[in-house]
Amino acid sequence: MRPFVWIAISLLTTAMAAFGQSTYTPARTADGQPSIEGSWQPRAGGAAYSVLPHAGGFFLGSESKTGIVEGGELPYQPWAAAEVQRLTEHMELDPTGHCHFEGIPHALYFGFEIIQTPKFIAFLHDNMHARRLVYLDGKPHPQGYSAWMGDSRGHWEGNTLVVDVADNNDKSVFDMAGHFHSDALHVVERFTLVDKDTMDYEATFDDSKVFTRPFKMKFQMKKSANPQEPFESDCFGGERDQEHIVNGLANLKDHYYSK
Amino acid sequence: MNVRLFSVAMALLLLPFALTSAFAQTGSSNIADAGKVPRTPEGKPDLQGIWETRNAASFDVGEIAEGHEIPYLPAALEKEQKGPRVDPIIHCMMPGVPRISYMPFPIQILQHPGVVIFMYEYLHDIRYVTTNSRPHLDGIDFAMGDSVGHWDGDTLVVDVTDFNDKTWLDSARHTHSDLLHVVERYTRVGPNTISYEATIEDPKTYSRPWKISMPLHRNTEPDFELRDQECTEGDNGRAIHPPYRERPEGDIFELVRPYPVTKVAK
Amino acid sequence: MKSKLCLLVFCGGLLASTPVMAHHSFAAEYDRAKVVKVSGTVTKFDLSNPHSWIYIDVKDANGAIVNWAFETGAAGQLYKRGIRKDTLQPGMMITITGYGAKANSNTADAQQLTMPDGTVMTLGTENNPG
Repeated sequence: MRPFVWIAISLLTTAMAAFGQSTYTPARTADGQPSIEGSWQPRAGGAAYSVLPHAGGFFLGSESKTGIVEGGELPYQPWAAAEVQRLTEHMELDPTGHCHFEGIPHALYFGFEIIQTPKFIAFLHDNMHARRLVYLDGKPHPQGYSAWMGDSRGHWEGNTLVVDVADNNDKSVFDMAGHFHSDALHVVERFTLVDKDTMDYEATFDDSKVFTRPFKMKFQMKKSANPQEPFESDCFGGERDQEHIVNGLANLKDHYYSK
Repeated sequence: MNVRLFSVAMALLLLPFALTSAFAQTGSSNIADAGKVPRTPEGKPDLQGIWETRNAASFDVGEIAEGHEIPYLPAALEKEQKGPRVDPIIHCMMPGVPRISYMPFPIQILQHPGVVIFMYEYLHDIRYVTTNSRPHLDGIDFAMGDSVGHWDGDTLVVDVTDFNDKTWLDSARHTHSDLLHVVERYTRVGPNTISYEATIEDPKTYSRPWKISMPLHRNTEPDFELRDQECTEGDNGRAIHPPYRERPEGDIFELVRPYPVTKVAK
Repeated sequence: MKSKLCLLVFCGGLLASTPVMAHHSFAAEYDRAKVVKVSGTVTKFDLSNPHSWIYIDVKDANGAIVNWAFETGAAGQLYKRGIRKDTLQPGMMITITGYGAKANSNTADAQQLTMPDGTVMTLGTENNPG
């Protein structure tokens, strides 16, 4: 075949590169990692309200025709699907309403800063002063530890930061639509630097206590156009909404403190 | 020529002592490290790592106060003693400054051009300290105040204002008003030690500025990492501060005073 | 001195608003159909996190004074719109519209505020969460 045709095919293939693939040559940190430092704004389409397709609305955030879950549905086991329904009727149990860490991937629906060091990559979230450190030194997850943000261990594969998240507690939630998980949740995230301002996020979720199979979520993140210093973002200090969330607080103690 | 040679020889002989005393102003006995503060690529002292407080100041800040006294104005002292008796951190409020610096949980410092980031294990608190001396905010209050930093030689100076009046300086109920102004100074004085000093002033509460000082010790345990520390309102603080004992009424705590403190109104 | 290497937000010397967090569902607390509009005197303004609150004394139909609580944005969000802790002071006459709470008759989610000089400010707590 003529060289022209080969060139055309190569260009076409590159242009059609799948989500999460990157042939970009990135700037590098002093220790050689692709540089993903900076201020990022996710395009998660109202996932904080629901990771599934949902209408928009004044109290419902932005519309999302696709949601961020591949296939548009979460494969809950039957008992778990009923629990999701129960949780939507008890908004007072939503942990973010109690100022807790949002967990993974919830914390990624809003802006954050990334700082890279040779030993870890720090994700510093604007909301509620949340943070997680993704350790790069190959050490295993700690045993007997359970956390809202889990424990993250990562490594680079080309332009993709692969993060293994374990030690999740069963209290963080994916969104405000009752989509919960158990403490068996294990997440493998892939942050792929596509160009200097764009990262593709794709994560595989595995939780055999609650779901029938693993599933994926994905969305894109963009560098902030006008990054600025974050204000103090606290929640506990002035939280006053719980007292008037309909359905009351009767369920609170059992939900949180008996586990 | 002999005299000149002698002078030069004496100067060379005395030079190490001169360097040592310059670096040891803050009392370091680490003569081997005199003049050799590790630096970041930007040339600033490297404060990075995990640091710990090893004192009881979080129970009573008087322990690390100069002269172990807090110079209260009489009216402020009276107001404090008649005021709320439940430590705001029981309700998961952020502890404020300087209290966050001596909470008994590790602190991880991260440096990046233009900013020093303090990551606290306690309540996953975080302070972004710009080192560009930007002006303080105007007309807004925060539990942790607004921190603005700059380098004064090899000392990181953090100026904090814009506090609300809701935090305590410790669990012994040492309070302040919204005019609190804190200036912290962080200086490396050895491979495993940062000297921490803070000047505290509040014209509504104290009759004069007063100082606290303490070392911050590097955590040298291999593989030590910060973990998540999260507050759950309603557990009455038992998970956070074991020494508290709950009175039968359930809501009022005995205040533990491990250190005798003189509150002097001058 | 600004370093060329400073890639993060801190270098600009400016402060941003806090993005809206996924902090509880307003749909569980407030009723969009329950539009309220009251005028009265400010008793207190808390510019705070996670939300700011405006308290206002309102005369009800019988002439009795009732204190209303209006919830609005986070401290940083309002700061970016030029609001300061002394923007609303006790004694000021204002008008606020909002969506009433489902569970409480004197609480609402603030939407618009009319200042004594007639300036109208939008105070909605729900922005696009992304």
